Amino acid sequence: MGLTLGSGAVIVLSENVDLKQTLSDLGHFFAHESCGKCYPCQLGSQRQAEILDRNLAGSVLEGDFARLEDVGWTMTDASLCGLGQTAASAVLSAMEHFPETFGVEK
Amino acid sequence: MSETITLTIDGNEVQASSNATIQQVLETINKPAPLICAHDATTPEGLCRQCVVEVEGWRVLAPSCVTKVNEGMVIHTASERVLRSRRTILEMLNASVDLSESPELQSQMDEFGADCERFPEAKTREQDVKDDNPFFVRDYEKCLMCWRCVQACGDDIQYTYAISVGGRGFESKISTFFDGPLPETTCVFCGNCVAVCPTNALKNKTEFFMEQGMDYDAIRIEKRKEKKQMGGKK
Repeated sequence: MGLTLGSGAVIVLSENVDLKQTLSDLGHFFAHESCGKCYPCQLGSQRQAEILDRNLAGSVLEGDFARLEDVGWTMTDASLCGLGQTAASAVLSAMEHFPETFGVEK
Repeated sequence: MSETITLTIDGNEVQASSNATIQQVLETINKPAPLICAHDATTPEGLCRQCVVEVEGWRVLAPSCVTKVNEGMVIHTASERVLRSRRTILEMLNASVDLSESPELQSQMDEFGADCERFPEAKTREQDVKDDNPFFVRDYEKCLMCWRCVQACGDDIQYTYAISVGGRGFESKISTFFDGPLPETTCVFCGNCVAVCPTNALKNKTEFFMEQGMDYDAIRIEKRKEKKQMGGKK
């Protein structure tokens, strides 16, 4: 399932939840938790939160979906520790399974 | 004790010492990975992740500056994942920091096809120049957070420990103790931090004054005045 082990790693959400809001909250959580040592997470968690905020506000820019993908995979592949490597997990899986959340046709 | 091992890099078999890092081996075959934070005078910390390469069977990419080679390792130095990470790191950096005086970073942007307008409406590290001593200024909106200055000030060169990393995440920054002015710290103005800075965030005062159009005599008078002021303070 591509899940990691750890406390709070599994969060059950009802189907009534506002995914845009949840993702934006997650984005801020990771931007806040990033220690700032390695570049992918230090910069990526900030860029990811900015794009997720735009998505929540309904003011996405052209290319935001591809931008979010590049930021997410760069954090996942290149970050130094587990925080950065999983900071985009929920976002990338939402992009795969619920692309309509980002205004993209499934 | 080191032994000779064999690994595969981009399809070619390469012999190397088992003590070597991936980057050291890449240098022997004339294919060094691009670097941002590393410098010959400072200890590699694996911060920038620009030197990452793909190792078959590994979940994440490996920073070649700090990863040791292993027998039978299969490495790809220019896979899609590697190139995406390198390009995106440069694009995110360029959106946050003023790279206008970093020719090395500019040429990496060209090499990896990084778009300098990739992240519009991004928060930047824009801030005022810190000018608090007669020797150099600190223009931290140009700072990459490579940590070289901190390392040069500390265990790698000077053992003075006047500066360190403060804050967290995107807000992390190079700072003095309680962010106080440099003359009030343990700084001895050796200039090693200025020498290892890759972006001109740390800039010699003479250069700084010349850019503002001051001539040699005016600079000499200004610097003498500043030194006298600092002498009184310290």
